Amino acid sequence: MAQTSQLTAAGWGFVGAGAVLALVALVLAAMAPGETRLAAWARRYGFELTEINRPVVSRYLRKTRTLQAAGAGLGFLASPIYVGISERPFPLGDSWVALAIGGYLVATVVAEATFLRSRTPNSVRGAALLPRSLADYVPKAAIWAIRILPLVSVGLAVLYGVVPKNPQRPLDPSSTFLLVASALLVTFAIAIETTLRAIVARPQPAMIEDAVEADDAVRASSIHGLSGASVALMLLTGGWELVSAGEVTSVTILSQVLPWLGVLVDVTALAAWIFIGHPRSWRVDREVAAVNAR
Amino acid sequence: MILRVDTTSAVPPYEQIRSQIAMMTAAGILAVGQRLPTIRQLAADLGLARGTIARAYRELEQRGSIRSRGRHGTFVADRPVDARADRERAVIEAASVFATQAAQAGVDPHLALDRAMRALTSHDGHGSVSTVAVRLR
Repeated sequence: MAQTSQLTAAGWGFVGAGAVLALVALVLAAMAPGETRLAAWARRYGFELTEINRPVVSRYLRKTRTLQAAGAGLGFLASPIYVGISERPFPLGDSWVALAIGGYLVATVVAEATFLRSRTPNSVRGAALLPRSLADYVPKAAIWAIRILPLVSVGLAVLYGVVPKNPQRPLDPSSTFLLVASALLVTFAIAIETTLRAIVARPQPAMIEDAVEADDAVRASSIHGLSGASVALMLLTGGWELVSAGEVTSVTILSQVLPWLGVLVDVTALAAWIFIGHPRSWRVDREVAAVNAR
Repeated sequence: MILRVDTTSAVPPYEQIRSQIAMMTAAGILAVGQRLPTIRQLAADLGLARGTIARAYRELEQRGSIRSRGRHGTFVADRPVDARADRERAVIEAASVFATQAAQAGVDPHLALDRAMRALTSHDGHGSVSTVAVRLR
């Protein structure tokens, strides 16, 4: 993937539009969520808003969405701004979309890690007598996608290395670079699943069911956001590998099919980010899961 | 299905946990075969040492209320044939805990009984004291 070291006028226009969009998203996210938005979010996660859990949900939405908008915006603008100022390629690549998703992912982790949950002030402590597992908070398909996609990426890197090359095309990126990138993706997947499990294992002190339900919804939202962004980044890597393989191969059918397949995978990546990250409906029903575990 | 532990109580935390789970299993609030939280999870949620939860689980297992299936987790055991006797035993145990706490707090027995009656009538919903009381009848 050749990296740009200069921006065209169209590029600057794109950056400007992106900056405006990011700013609008940031301002909207920073505003305290209204009752309608809170109610819609609670409906999506299948619990009832009460006087006790409403402030927690409101605080969570405001903080998380603000950080996510800032992270995605910064990620999107990082490369063009760096290139525009330094006239050198951005060290982390020039895939603006991947960088935006990466920024969103980092922001989601930061939001989850820094979201303070109040411990019971008195000596009486409470907890739900229900087990928690990762599958309660995100579809199993998403968990398996995080495990399998890095292996597919390694397979594609190997394919890139062995596919017959067109001698007239420069080998960019190198086979070694692609192999290292896919190996890093495996490490990334391990780190992501460890983070997801840490979110599930985070203590959940609660004296009433309302608080448990809201806390479960908050966890599910963070885990969905992280999973969606992770799957999207993995798919984007796969798409890049497919397009790269299509560009360097001398096999006609592969040079025709692989780039389109890569584009399709890129579109799927955006869909995964949106639909896994922001489910239309997800109810954390640990009671049912506990009973079905027999 | 909330478990509560009073760390200032004279009753040790493991005993509070044990008696509450015993009550819930006897009353059928915890279904047979239902998986319980891991020791690590419950200890983290309650802010207690893992050994405390492990002791409560161990005693419950010895009395046949729960069974451990290794890494698969801990489950509510099949209810004994004489469920009524088991429930009564659970209530007697809970009453004993209550009586100890009331005595150590220096509360007049009549007042304590009055408070217990109020608690029985004021609590409602699944898993509450009154649900247990109704199920015992």
